[in-house]
Amino acid sequence: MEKIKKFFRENIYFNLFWCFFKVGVVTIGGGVAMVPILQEKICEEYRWMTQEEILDCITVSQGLPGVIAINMATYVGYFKRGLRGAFCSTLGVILPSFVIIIIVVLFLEEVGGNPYVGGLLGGIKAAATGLIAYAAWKLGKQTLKNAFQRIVAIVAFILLAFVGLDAVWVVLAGLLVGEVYYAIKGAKEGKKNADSN
Amino acid sequence: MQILIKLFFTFAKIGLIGFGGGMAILPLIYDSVIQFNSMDPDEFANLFAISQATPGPLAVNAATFSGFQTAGVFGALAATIGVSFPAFILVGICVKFLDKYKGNRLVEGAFEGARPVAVGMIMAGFITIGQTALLSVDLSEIVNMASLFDAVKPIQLIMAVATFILAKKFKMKAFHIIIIMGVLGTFLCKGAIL
Repeated sequence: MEKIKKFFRENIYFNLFWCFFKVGVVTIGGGVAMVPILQEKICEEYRWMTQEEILDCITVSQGLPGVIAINMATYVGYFKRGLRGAFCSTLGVILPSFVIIIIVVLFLEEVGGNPYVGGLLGGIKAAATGLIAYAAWKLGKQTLKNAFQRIVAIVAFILLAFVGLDAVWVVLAGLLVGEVYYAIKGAKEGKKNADSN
Repeated sequence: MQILIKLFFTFAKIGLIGFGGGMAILPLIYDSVIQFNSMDPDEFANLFAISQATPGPLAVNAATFSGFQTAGVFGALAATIGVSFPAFILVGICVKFLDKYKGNRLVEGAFEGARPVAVGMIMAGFITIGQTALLSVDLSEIVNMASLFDAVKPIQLIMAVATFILAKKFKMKAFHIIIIMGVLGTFLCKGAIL
């Protein structure tokens, strides 16, 4: 019994699967809706990644083609334990929706027409909205350290939410702006060092 | 067997060329689904409504649905594996590459811009999800403050604000808040999806 408990607590592959299974069960709509609970579990509970690393995971997942939730799960799995880790985390994130959709198909009328089911899912969505606001606030406070970073974040927000630009273009623009800023910063610091010598 | 292979490749296409996820790849998902199921846009809208309200990404839900209707559980498996397969290759290459060139000037510079963009993406996600969770009409239909007040679902808005406070002030775990709000919603936000 102890051995079994120890396995569930310590086995990284099982934990990757279980973490993403739980995330899959409670995220309605997929994609960015996953971020709050993912951030909490991965940065604070399991401590698999830093805040900066989870942001890298989010940009890469949005910038690549495909399903964002799957990209994020695969990223974290690969990051921790290569292909096998990726397999476990992706299986975990897909399994809940796989099972739920099959149930929904079988009982479409009952599920779609039941006001309590609608209420349950509506409540979860309201919670998701509050949680995303909190995640944006928390990650923003911890990772946006200067004016450049704050401006890039706000411009990206406006382009995505109100202009309706595709995420891939915003990511590419972000990469370019980052390169330019980094080059200018590097040149300035180089000059400062040269002056002080 | 042939139908399973076809399901796999049709849905693998979404994983390979569908940029942006969710709403952005809706047309691509529709094209894939109608290759297997005779479905008019109305029925697809129902599938979309259910998918928006149930756990899981839209593309995975659509793949599972389409595969299951076409060839049972194995069909659902073939389509779902298809939709997630490209990520293994593309994300795998990315993670390897980033790991190898960690500390490289170009990679560091790229991240300098990419990380704030990710924060912007989460803020944009708040608008996308908030509009379906808290408003009764599409955001584009809101033209002034009066129409905004009309569209807001008050109970859901209070629950969203309460969630923020529970998370920030009381450090409650996201998982627990979701369960509490789900139970409250069952009785306070009653209403059929379809």
